[in-house]
Amino acid sequence: MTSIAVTGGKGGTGKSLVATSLATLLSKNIDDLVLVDADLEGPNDHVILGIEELENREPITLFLPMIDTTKCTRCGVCVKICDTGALFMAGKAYPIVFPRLCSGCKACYYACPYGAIRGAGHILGYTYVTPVCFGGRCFKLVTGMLIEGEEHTPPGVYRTLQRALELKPELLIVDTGAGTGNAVSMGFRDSDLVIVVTEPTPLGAHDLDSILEVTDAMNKQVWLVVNKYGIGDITILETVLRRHRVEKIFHIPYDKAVVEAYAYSKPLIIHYPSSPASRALMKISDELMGWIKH
Amino acid sequence: MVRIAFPTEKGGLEDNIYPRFGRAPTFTIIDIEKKQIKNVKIVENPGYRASGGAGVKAVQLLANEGVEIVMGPTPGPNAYFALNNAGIKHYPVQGLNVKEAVEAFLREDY
Amino acid sequence: MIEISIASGKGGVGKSLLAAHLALLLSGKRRLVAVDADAEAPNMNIVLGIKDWDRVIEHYEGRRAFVLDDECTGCGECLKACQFGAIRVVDGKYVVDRWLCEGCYTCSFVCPVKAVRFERDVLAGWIRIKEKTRWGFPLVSAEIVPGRPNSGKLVTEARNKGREIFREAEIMFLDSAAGIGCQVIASLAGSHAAILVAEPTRASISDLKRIIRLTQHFRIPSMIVINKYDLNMQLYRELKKIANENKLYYLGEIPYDEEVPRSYVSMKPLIEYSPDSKATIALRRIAERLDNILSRFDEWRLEYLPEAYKPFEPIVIRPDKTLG
Ligand code: SF4
Ligand code: SF4
Repeated sequence: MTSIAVTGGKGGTGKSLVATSLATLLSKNIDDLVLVDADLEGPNDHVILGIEELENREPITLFLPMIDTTKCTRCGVCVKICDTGALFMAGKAYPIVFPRLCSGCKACYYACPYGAIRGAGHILGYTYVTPVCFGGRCFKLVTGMLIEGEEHTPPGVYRTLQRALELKPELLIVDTGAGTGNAVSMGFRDSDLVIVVTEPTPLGAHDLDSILEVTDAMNKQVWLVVNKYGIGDITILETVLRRHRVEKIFHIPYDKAVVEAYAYSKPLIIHYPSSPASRALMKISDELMGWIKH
Repeated sequence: MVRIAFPTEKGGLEDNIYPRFGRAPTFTIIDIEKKQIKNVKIVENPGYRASGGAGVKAVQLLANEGVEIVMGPTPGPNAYFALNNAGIKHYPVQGLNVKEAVEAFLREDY
Repeated sequence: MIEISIASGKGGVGKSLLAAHLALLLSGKRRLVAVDADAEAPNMNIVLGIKDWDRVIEHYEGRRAFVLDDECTGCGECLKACQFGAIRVVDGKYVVDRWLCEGCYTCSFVCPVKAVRFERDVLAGWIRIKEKTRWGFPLVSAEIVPGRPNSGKLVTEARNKGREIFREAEIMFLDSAAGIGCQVIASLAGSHAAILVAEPTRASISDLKRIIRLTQHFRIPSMIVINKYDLNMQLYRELKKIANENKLYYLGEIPYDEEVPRSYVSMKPLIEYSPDSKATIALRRIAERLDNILSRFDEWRLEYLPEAYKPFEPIVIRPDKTLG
């Protein structure tokens, strides 16, 4: 299996556009392709692909302690060990659990000297597997989504990736969340290639610097896609690029068709195949195909 | 005797009541007996250093210290639930220092 | 001090643009402080064209596990127990991934030879301070160490710093973290009002709906600004309908304007780079409206307080043997 991650630091750089387009294009040549939307706090690959309804829902269940009062001696060890404040004990009463705060780390379960903690579950969000077909060629979209108000994104990302791996794809494309936190670094931790999407503005440059810091430390092979090429000044990115390792650089021109495709939920490369941006994406996809083959 | 806690920064009678509950650096705990301040104790709040669940951790401290009343800003929903569970009463006060709040408590007897 | 969070669910819809310009435009009239709590991509300073800081405070927090090579017997219990996938085998040795470790104690409990140790108070981020920007107000900006867990603590710390360096301020503008995770909750909890930013795209609409659920949960009276409103009139109308149904105060709209990205490149705020552009005019109008609200804030707040407090109910399932 080959695994590629598409990431981009801040939101709005066009990360999802690149990921969905590459999945659509590469599925012409690759049979078992899985695209993972690992942006659990605001997944939108399906929106860009024009999918109304996600399918095959499964809950993301985290461990949640439940106190077995027949065994609990009220020693308070679990409360001390819990890092998230999810366990609470008033005086000498039995501990109570705050499901929303619990990260499901299971430390309390292992820490209890009396085996008084049983495993229950807490539903953090859902994963979906939706087939996506264009012109007779299909791939699968795995989407992870947190329930509003839930806070623990990283374990959710982990479960979403696991569900995608269960499908045993030949090629896995991970669209990570926005930002530079560990919910994002988890998305590309195991990728063979990281495609970083940025834009030629000082905002883009700053975030590019942050994300490349991580890819460098993880020793990743990196390709860069400069989106909205033409709005800004490419020299802004050069100082950043001098500091980091990037293997290839691509450009996607600034193109009104992208804005339109996005606003009307029409996949760009299907509905505007001859637009300049589509042609640039096709070029990236061709190069990728070559890279995958060798 | 009644034991009251106040979220504070450095702690003590002269310190202002901290505007956030769970993230206060310290709690100033005061014992009141026969309408007199008997004892003043300053304890560090584990919630201040916590990455998450600050409010509940703060309430855990108060419960361990045997506090009966906490006076300060409104706690978050989790901390609120924990306070109820521990039988600790919450009186909303803001913009006073600890001493003024104690005086208000003694005067109005809430 | 009135704390106003500017939030959008996802980033990239003009949240920092709005936050920076509200601070800038109101700074002549009101004492205010700006806090950039979007610690994964802080960019208010870039929108404002601020290049240097007066102070940088390092932020240490949390802990991180590591395995002592000499003591590890290679039994693999830690790998099985870790709920975050943070333990991996590298060259036959068990290693804690420094990016993914959340610092819980699970691995140390299951290790039969106690080979797991902890490193405490690791560098988690920075808080940067500009005591006085060109426009007079102070700016506090938080940033996490790239790739490491984001935290509500850092956001809270930045908010505290904001209030500390300018105690007399009437208003704090808080560029809230992106997403819906704990950082957003730390920025929203305790805010007196929120300004939600959306654009007429499907993705932004679903983000907006999520963030509205949060503001209702915390009972924060909210306003809405629609950015690039002329991109799609049908979705624009849908946004207005959502605003109406959820009792959001309609603060205004900003047209699509190519001067905006150009202003970023120029490292100057839009209103200085292009004082007559469509977006500048819209931002001025929005700032004026907000100024009016601030003059009668208590009254406004009561009027727009979300009525139905919708408590957040986590979904819990019963104990089950398969879970542990
Ligand atoms: S560690 Fe076990 S016995 Fe002790 S209080 Fe917790 S559940 Fe009860
Ligand atoms: S699983 Fe972890 S976070 Fe949840 S209650 Fe137990 S120790 Fe706390």
